[in-house]
Amino acid sequence: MKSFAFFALTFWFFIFINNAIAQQKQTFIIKGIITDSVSKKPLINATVILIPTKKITYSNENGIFEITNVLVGKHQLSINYLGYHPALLNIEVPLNGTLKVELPSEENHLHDVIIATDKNLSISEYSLQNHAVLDAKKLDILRGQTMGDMLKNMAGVTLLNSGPSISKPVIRGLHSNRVTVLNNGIKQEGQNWGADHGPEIDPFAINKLEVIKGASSLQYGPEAIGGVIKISAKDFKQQNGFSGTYSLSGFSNNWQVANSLFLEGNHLKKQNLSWRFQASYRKAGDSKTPEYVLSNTAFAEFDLGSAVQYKFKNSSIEYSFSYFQSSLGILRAAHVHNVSDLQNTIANGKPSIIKDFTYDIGRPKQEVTHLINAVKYLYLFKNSSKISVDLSQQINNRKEFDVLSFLSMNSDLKDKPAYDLTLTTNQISVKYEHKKFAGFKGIIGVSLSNQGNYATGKQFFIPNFISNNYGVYIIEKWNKKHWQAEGGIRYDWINFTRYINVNNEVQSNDLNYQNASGSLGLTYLVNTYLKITGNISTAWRAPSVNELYALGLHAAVASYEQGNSNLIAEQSYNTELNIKYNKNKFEWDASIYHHVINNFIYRLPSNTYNTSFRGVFPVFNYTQTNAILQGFETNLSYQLQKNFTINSAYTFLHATDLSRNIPLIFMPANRIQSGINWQIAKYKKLKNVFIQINHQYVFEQTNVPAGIDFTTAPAAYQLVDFSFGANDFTKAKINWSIGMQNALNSSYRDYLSRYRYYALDAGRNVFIKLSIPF
Amino acid sequence: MKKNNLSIKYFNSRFIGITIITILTISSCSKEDPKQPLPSNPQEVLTTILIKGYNQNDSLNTNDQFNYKWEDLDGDGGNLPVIDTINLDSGIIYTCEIIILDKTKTPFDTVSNAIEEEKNAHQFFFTPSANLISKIKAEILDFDTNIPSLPVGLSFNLNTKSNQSFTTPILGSLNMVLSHYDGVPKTIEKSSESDFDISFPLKLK
Repeated sequence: MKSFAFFALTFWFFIFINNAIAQQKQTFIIKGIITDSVSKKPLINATVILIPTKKITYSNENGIFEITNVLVGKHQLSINYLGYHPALLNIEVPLNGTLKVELPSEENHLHDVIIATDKNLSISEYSLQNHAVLDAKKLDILRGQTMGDMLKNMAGVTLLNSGPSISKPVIRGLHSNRVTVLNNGIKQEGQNWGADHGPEIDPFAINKLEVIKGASSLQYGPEAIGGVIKISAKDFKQQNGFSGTYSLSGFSNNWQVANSLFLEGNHLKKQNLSWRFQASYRKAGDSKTPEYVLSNTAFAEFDLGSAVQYKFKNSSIEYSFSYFQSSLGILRAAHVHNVSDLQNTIANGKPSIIKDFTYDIGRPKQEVTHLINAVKYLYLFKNSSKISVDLSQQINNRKEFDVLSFLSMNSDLKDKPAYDLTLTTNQISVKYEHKKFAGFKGIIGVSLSNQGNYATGKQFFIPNFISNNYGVYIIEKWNKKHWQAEGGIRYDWINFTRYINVNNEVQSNDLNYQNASGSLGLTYLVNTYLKITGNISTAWRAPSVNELYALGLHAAVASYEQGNSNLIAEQSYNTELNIKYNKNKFEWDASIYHHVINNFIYRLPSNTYNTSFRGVFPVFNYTQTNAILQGFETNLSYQLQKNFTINSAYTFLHATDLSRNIPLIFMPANRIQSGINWQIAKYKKLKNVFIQINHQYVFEQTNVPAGIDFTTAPAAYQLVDFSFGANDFTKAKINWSIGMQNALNSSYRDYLSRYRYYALDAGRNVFIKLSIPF
Repeated sequence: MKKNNLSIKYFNSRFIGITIITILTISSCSKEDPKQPLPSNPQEVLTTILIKGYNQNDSLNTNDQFNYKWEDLDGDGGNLPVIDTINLDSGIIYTCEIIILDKTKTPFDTVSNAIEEEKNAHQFFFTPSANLISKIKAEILDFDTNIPSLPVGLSFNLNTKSNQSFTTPILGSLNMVLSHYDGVPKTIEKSSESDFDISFPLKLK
């Protein structure tokens, strides 16, 4: 309730301030030109609102607009054009010259809005769906770290960890198949169902990270009922030439070394041909907690990626290739064979196997490769409509090696992985973005995907399958004066066939799912600083392969898992209200959401036990329930002085299994994050010097069902991170930073750390990062 | 000027051609067809655990011998294992050995031989249920080649010579755990990794 009181107070406070702005009498003219940031073509009929007078003007056929009778002083201009990122400009009248505004298309997330004539203009973007962005500048500080480290600083995003080497993003309590990862526009397809299967992406290649919270299946297909993580590579070089960057990072906790070479170029007279190339390698040894080494948590990763783009007069074609390879050690002590082993380890309070630090990766381990080939084609029509075609193929191979027992000493089984799964996915998507028509602008799209899974190895935890997915969708946007609306509908058909071999005879089972998804959002711009957005959406998700057909032992969690092929699709209904306020030194946003998921699928222990020679195991079945996830998030940042900013964020989630009237298990604990940031443009020979201190307090998860988990939820904990850095240290323009994660060397276990039964989370980590552009 | 355009056109068509060929090559080289699944026979199993024993005082007389069986022919899940009840008389020392078989292979695979080979990293633990713990003692007879030498447990005595007298037979159980010491030194304590963990019902007269 306190939060709501605060909310209301802040709201009225700013309304008051806004009305109290003093007025002056002398008037001037504001003149500007609005163009597409890439093609530099003028944007016709863009809406320009002068705030606070609410005066609305439109750009003419040359992209030029004019606003007369403007009072002297500071103003803000809101520029909107459907299909483009809107811009919010702070201007000071009188202007010296014409304002040049280059808007980036929404297709093209890599451009910032570019404004000329005034250096001090600030930009703010908005979109109707609640999303958080880590752009290149913010990511620079995190560069070299794992994707998990980049994501965990965003409100509403937490991590599901399986030791220090594997982490999965959790958006508002949902993860795995409920979160879609878009890798440069392509839906990343690995064995996404596994809680210990991290996304196969080179963190060095991430130039921008965007999290869309809440159901967002329209463009990205069913499944994305939890949200979407959009990863963008650096945009192609626009000017002729060749350049690159070499990055090198070192981390003390696991003596990790990570480095990456990035090269890019642009050629030909018309700057038609551009390309980029990146190769990265990292090697890490065992991580350490404040008390002991986490034995067998070493990992190594090698990545290669390249892309080439050729631009014609009205079209462009792009080919990209990427290869990811990693070898990940799994905490040795987390490989237990039955429930009594697990209970003994919990009782001991520390891992049963602790060895000296090493870079060696022993069993159990995972070996994963991921290959992507993609072709993108874009055609721009004369009337500014466009069509794009994306073709891609992904081949994901995952091998998981268990600990050798006397049963596998037999030579031909010794080197065979327990699981060996090859998942091949082909995707085609065609999008047509129509020109503004009767006030509407939008996208009509079709997407087709075909996926095949092939299982070999010692055990068949999941079977072979072929899955086909066909989807059609339409999304329309509309805006008028202070209102913006966005709505869409999508329909999908999924055909899923399982193939098993019974006594050398192939048996197949066919499953079919189809349903509609839809969303509607409405934004009201109260004034330049304040906007309110409401969003309702419905989405669905077909059961995944493990939920349908899993069969076998899960060594790390000592359970026997049994799929259920009678499961029906999950249906999600999400309602969200978001308020954003942004004025000068003060930035604040708050969201409240209510997410109902009917037929929510999750694993619960049944009352039966499976007796095998390995021991007695509780049998876990996939069951369905009606779940409700309610939450609140708020972010606040205030610039105390020119160089000094403080920020704070609070995340709250309450999740309930309505059918059984118990809390939902394994939901992230609530947390408060606060930070101070000091930044100056120049200090002696150093440029862009910054110091950042961040504190995070994670509450104990008290909303847990009784008697299901092997142990109680871990206690609350707090972490302090610290970093400082600068660039242009010498004429070589080296960017550098030094920092410390978990600076207080706290001993803690996170509730969503899957190995919390066995060990603490990692301790203090000192890092050094260098990047050398050339 | 014209020449330049031509070269660009030539370049374009070649570029598109190369792209398509690359995609096709990669698509066609996948030989693993999901429609042709491999048989999903679990390959790392044991089906049968035998305890063969005889009355030490009666070794020449073949009457007092036993052969108890724990058997799960269809592996994990499926049908429950078939487990014999061990019948013992009090006041006797039974000498036993363990034989572990994988009957899914032809001929049967004697997997206990692998334990013998790996004995320096394995050890059996025999624990009678609480109502029998003072009446039955398990004594391991075989030792490994560690220095100092530690027990293995492929052969052992079940000693029912306790000083406690009782009239009605006692029903309890005998738990057998095979501990694997992988990455940790072998001790006389159980490790955190049990290669198997089974229980036989046991009736003591």
